[in-house]
Amino acid sequence: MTTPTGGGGTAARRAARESLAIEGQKPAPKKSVTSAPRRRDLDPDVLVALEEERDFLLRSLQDLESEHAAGDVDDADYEELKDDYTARAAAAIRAVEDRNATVKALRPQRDWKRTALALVVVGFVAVGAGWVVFRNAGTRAPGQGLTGEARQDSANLILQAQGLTGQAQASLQAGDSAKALKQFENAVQAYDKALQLSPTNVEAMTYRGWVMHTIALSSEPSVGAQFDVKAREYLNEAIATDPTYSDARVFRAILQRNAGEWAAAKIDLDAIDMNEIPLYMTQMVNSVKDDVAARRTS
Amino acid sequence: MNLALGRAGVTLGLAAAVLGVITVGYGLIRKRPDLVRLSRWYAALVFLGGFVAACAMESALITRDFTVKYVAENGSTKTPALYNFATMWGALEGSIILWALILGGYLVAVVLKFRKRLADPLVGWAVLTMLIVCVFFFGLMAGPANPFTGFSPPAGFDGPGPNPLLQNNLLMAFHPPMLYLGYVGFTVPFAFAIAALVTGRVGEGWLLATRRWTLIAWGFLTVGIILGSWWSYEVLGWGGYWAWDPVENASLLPWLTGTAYLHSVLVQERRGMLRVWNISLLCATFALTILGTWITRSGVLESVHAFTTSSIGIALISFFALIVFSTVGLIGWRGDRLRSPGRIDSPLSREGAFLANNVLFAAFAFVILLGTLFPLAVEALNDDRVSVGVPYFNRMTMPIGLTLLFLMAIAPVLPWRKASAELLRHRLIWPAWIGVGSMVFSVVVGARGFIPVLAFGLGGFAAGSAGRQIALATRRQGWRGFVGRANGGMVVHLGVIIIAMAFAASSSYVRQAEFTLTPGQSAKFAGHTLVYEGQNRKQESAKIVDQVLIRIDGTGPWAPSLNKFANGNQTIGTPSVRSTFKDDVALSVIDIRDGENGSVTIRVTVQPLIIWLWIGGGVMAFGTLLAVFPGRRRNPLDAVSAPLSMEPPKEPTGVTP
Repeated sequence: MTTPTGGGGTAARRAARESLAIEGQKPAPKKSVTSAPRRRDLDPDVLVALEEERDFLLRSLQDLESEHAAGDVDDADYEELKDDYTARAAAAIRAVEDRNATVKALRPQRDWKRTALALVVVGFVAVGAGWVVFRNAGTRAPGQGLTGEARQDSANLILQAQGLTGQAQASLQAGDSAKALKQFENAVQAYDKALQLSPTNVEAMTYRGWVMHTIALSSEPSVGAQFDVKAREYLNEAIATDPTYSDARVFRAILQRNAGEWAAAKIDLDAIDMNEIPLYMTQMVNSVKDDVAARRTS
Repeated sequence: MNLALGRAGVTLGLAAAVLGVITVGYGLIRKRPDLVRLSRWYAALVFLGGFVAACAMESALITRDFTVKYVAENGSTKTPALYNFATMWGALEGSIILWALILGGYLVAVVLKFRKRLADPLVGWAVLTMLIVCVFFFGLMAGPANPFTGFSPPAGFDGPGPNPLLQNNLLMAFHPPMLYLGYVGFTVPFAFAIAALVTGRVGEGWLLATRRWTLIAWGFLTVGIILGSWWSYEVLGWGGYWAWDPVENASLLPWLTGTAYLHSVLVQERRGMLRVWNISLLCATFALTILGTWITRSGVLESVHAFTTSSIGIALISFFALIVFSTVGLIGWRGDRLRSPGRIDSPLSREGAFLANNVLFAAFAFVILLGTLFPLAVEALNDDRVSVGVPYFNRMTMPIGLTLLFLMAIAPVLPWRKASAELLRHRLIWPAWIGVGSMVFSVVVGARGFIPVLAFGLGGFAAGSAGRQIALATRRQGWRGFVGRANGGMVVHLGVIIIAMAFAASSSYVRQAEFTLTPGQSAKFAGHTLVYEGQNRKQESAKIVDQVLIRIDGTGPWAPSLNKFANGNQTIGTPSVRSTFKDDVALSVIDIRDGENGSVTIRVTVQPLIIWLWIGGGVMAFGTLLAVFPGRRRNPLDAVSAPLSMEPPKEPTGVTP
C-alpha cells in the first residue's frame, strides 16, 4: 500500500503523512500517470460490458429497421432514433476496438526462448519424476496397496515375504529369473524388517535363510555357495534361539543333505517332532530321510 | 416408508436439478432474467431432495430398517448409536447422499448470498454449473449408486454393521463430513470460474465474489485431512499417521492445488496476472476431487480392471473427463482475454515468491499424482501388479517441502514488484536469527541428521517471519491485526510450520519394536519403561474387547486391545497412545497367547512431537477462521496497481456501461 491513510503504519508512512500535514495538504491518493491506462480500463469485465452494449445497440438498430418497415415508427422518429443508435453503436464499437488495441499493445511479446526453456524444464522434471517412480516401483505383494505402506508388524511382514517368495518361485518356473531375483530381494527385505522389529523371531530367521538357499539353487555354483553360507548362518541362529522350532531343522537338514553332510543331516532329522510340522513338510522330511538312509546303507 | 421417502427425496432432487438446468440455461441463453431468477426455487428443491434422502437414510439406520439394502449391508442392531448415525457415510451409496446434501446446501447458500444478483449472467452461469453438478450426483443416486434399493430380510435378520475399523473411534463421525465439506465446497469457486469463462468476465470480479468460499472449502478440507490422519493414528495401530496410501493421496491432491490457488489468486487480484493459471488451478482442484472419488470409490484399488465392471467407476471417470475437456476447451476459447498485460518485474518480489510457491505446489501435486496413477497405468498396460513405496514419496516431496518452508519465511516480508537487498536484510534479520536459534536448540536437545535439523531451522525462520508480520499488523491495527486474509494467513502459516516440524521430528526419530511379555514382566525401550500388568476382557454390545494392561513409566495402565466383532470374523486391534508434548508412546497388541502364562506380544512405537501435528492442525483451522473474518476493507483493484510500466497508449474512449 502506498497510499498514506489511517493513523498506523510504518515509520516511513508516518513521516510521509507528517510532511503532508505540515504543508497543509490533504493526503491525496496516488494517481496513475495520466496517459497510462488504468488497471480498471484493462479489466476484461469492462470489455464484456462494452460488448454487451454494442450488441444491444446493434440489435436495437435491427429492431428499428423491422419496426419501420412494418410502419410502427414514422420516418422522422426513425431517422432520429437511427442516428442516435448508430452514433452510440459506433462509439461502443470504437471503444471495444480501442480497448482491444490497448490490451494488445500492452501485452508483452511472447518470449519464445523463455517458453522453450520452461517446456524443457517441465519435460525434464516430468521425465525425471517418471524415472524415479519407475525405479521405486516394486512388485505388489499380496495384501499390499497401490502406493505407500503402513508400518507392518513382524507377523504381517513375514506373511508378505512368504507371498513374495511364492511369486518369485512362479517367476522362476516361468523362466523370468530377473523378475524372480527382484521378488526374492523384496522378500529378504521384508524378513529383515521383521527381524529389526523382533530380533529373536525364529520364523523370520528360518525363512530368510531358506530364501537364501533357494536363490543359491538357481545361481552359479560359486555364487550359490556364498548364499548357502548366509543361509546356514540364519538357520543356525534360528535353531540356537529355539531348538524346538522344527522348520529350521527341516531346512538345515535339506541344506546338509544337498552338501553331502549326511551325519549332520541325520541329527537334525532325528530332532524333528513329526507331529509339529505341516503335511507338505512331512513329505520333504521323509524324502530327505530316505536320501540319508540310502546314503548310509550304501 | 424410509425407502419410499428416500426415493422421493432423490427423485425430487434430480427433477429439480434437471428442470433447473433447463430453465436457467434457457433463461441465460435467451436473456430472460425472470427465468434465471427461478434458480432460487430450484436450489431450494434440490437441497430439500438431498435433505429428505439423508433423513430417510438416517431414519432407516436408526430404526434398523433392513428393508433398505444399504442398511441390511452396513447396519446392525448391535452397532452403537453414534456409529450407526455415521454409517451413512461409511459406504459408497450413503456417502453420495452426504455429497448431494452438502452440494445442495452450498447451492442454497450461493443463491442466498447472491440473491440480489441472480439475474447477473456471471451468477446465473455459476448456479447453472452447480445445478449440472447436482444432476450428476443425484443421477448417481438414481442409477449406479442407488442407496434406496429394497431388500427382503428373512425373519430375525441382522446386518453385519459397518466395517469394524469405522466403528472404533469417534473421529469417524467427523472426518468424512469435514472432508466432504471441503471437496464439495470447491464446487462454488469452480462454478464461478466456469461462469467467468462462459461470460468472458475473466477479470477479477469473480475472484472477489468467491474468495471467501474458496477459503472456507480449503479450511474444511484441511481439517478433514488432519482428522483423517489422526483417525489413522488412533485406529489403525501401525504407529503412524500418514502412509501415502492412495486414499490419503486422493485427499491431498486437491488440497495442494487449492493451496497454490489461494496464493496465486493474490497476484491476480493485485496485478491482474496469472489469469489462465488461476482458472486452471481452480478447475484442477475440482477435477481432482472427482478423480479422488474415482480412485477411492470405483474399485481400482483392488484391480484396475474392476472399475470397468462398476458403473459408478465409469460414471465418475466420465464426469472427470467432461470437467477436464470442457475446462480446457473454455480456456482455449477465452485464451486471448485471459492473457494478462504485464509480467512479473522481479523474481525477488511478492508475486515472484507466489509464482515460485505455485511451481512447487504444482510439482508436489504432480509427484503425488504420478506416484498414485503409475501402478494403475502399469497394470492397465502390462497387467503387472506393482506398488510405489513410501521411499518414492518421501524422496520426492522432502526437498519440495523444505523449499516451501524457505519460501514461507521470505515471501511474507517481500514487497510487491521489487525488493532491495537492504530491505530484505532489514526485514529478515530477526526471523533468520530465530531460525538459527531453533537449529541450535534442536541440536542441543538431541536432534541429529542434516534434513531434520535443516527443517527445524527453516521452520524457525518461517515462524519468525510470520510472527513479525502478525506483530506489525497488531501494532498497526490492534486486534484486527489477527483477522482478514493476510493476517489470518500468517496464523495458518504458523500452523503449517508446527505441523512441518512435528512431521520432521516424528518421521526422522521414530523408534519401533515388538516385545513378548508375561504378566509382571517389564521392558525398556527408547527411554521408556513398560510393565505388563495383565489382561482384561470386556463384553460390549457390538464386540468383545480383550485389553492388555500396560504401565508406561509408571502411568496408566494403558489398554491396547484386540476387538472381536459380533458380526464378522474380523479381529481388529485398537492401539492405546500416551501423548505428551515431548513424545507419544503408542502400544498395539499383536498377539494374545491363550494358555501360555498369559503372554502377549505388543508393538511399541515411540515418536517425538506427534501431539503438535494435531495442535498445528487446530492452529491452521483457527487461522482459516480468522482469514475468513472480514479484515480492513479495501478495493483490491485500486491498491498497489500502479500504472503499467509500458509505453502509454492512448486512453480508450469508452461508453460507460
